[in-house]
Amino acid sequence: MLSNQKIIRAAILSVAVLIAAYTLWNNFSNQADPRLRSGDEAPDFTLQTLDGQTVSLSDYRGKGVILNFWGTFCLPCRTEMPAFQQQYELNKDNGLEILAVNMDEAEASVQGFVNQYGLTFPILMDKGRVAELYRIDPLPTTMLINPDGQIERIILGPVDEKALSYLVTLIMP
Amino acid sequence: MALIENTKCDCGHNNPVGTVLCESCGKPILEQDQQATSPLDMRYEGMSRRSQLADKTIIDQVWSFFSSVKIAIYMIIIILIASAIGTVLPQENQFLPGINYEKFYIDTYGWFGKLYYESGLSNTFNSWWFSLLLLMLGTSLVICSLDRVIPLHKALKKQRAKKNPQFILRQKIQTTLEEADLRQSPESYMNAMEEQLKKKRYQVIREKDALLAEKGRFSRWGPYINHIGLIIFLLAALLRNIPGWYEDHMIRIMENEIVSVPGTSYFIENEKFTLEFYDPATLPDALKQEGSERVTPKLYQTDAILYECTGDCYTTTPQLKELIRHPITVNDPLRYEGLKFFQIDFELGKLKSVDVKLAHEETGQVFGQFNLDFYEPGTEFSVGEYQVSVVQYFPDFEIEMNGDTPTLITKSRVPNNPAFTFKVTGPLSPKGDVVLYAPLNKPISDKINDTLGAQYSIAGTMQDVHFVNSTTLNYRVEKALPFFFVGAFISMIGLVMGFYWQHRRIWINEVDGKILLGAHTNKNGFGLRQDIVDTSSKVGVVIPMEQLKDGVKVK
Repeated sequence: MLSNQKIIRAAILSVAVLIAAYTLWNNFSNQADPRLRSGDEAPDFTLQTLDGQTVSLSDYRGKGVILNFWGTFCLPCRTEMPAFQQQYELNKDNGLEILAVNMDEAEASVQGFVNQYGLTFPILMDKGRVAELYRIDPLPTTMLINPDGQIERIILGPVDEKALSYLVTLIMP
Repeated sequence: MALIENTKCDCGHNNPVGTVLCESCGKPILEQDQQATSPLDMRYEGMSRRSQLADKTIIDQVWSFFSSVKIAIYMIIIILIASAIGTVLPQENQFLPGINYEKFYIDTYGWFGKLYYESGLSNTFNSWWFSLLLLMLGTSLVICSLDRVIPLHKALKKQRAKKNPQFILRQKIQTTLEEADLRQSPESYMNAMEEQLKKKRYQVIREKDALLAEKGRFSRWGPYINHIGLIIFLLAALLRNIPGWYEDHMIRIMENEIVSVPGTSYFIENEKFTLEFYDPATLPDALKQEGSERVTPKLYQTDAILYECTGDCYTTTPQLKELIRHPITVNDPLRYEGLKFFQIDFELGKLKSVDVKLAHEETGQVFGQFNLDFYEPGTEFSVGEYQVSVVQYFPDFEIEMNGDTPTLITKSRVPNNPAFTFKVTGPLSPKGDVVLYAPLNKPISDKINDTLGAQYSIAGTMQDVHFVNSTTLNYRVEKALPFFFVGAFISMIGLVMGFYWQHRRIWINEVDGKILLGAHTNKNGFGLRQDIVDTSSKVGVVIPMEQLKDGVKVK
């Protein structure tokens, strides 16, 4: 009788503990937090570039990819752009690709900006879906993706020239 | 140890630790209680609550913690306070997505907003600690109920008619009938009472010299059934934590715009937004007199189309399959497989596009006109013999000093203050000539055009401006809703059982040729006294109502 009662008590309390554990896990664990982390596979996507070509991230397997999320309205994005262009010119023949994903802006705005800054790497036009897929916050966010398609580093906020030249060495094939 | 020794009653029954009234005869267990004359504490039939065990392991200790009603009340108070604080400022999910919450709370509410955001109160109802509080309350409900309902059920199942005289005479409703009052043998009185009480639909347990009449016992289970309902309700609230079970977002859509529904492969289009007002002439006088200028809205409607993306979902041209069309009005959402889109807000007359004229700056000669969209402007326009191409577009422009050189930048994606720089190529300027168009900031654009020495002017009048309406829909998923309804329904059944019925009991015992009559009810003592007065007078023994008055007379 007594041991029966003990079993029931233990059972009820463990159900409560299990639900509590699930609630906490849901709030704190990696799995429930959809944000990407370094080491994760970079989710594939297909977007159109500013000049109307269709590109997929998986097209760049075997290359080191800098995936940059930006907007013309974002001041730190504007300040870091020249560093990307410089790095691109330096290393595009050594297997570096830069994909700059624009956050849902008008083509006219983006084209003007690209001309003004003389950017030559592909600009990808996102309607917000890829940014949602990558849970981008804040702008700019830069993901360094290695030739195997894994995220090597995630940089929240702007990158400067010096940091970028080091980061590029991490993903060069 | 003293407690354990004292739990054996005079009648020979062995009671568990913590018993207040003997399980068998109802006599108080504690000596100081036996000497008292006050009415007995009848809670839980004086049974030992299950958590009051002598030996305690950790499980038992946790169990007794949750078994305490005092702790449960503290938890309810904490949840109440947390919920109240959670309504002081708007919660994060009440905003259109994409805003910087930290900045919003600080800019709008100052240091208090900062504190509110940083302490996580801006997301109270989805926070882990709020869920844990609900879970603790749920656990407490389960354990408190079990600890009380099981002893209560046992006590009520094995009730005896024969009780200790103290038990009967220390009920709030009690009386003693001497032989002179009865004018018949106690046994015939008891037989007659049994018959009368049965007519009043009492259940009667009869022993040789004792009678127990009982009615409405099921109402005692009301609170516990109510608790089962509440537990289901709380579990439903916790089910919302499962991904996909609960969504609550705001989506703003311009007319003819298709936007994606966050976290799904669905897209939704606003075909048209309609706002209608009542014709003031048709309004009743009462409404008219309040303010003749007042307009009364009649209809807010979004003609919406829901699509599912079947391919190229991340590109600018996703392949969409139409699923359903619905005119969404207030309280009539678009529903599709558990998704709901409610009409929640709107914005009228937003700047959308303008028909601008290209003219010669000095002569004013018009070369032609073209439509300029502030959201999706094209990049090239043919205007008569001229070619106009967009060099730069700043939807929300501002001049920023870049060292000594002023540069145009945009503050946001929203065309609050649009500015275009065009290159105009044509007979007058074969190499191209630059001109600025910033309709909402004429002084600055004129100044810049002067500096540029622009040969052309690009301008539109107010008549040429096109506006667009946008709607805001509230996208919701609430899969736990049926559980909330079931929980609330069961809880209501429990409340009705407990509120509209009473558990009435009457004990009649013969002791030394006298009749001892005691009665107990959890509410409506008047009704029970009335029952006793009625039945007794029918068998020829008039008991005045006052004689049954609440109070204690121990002889």
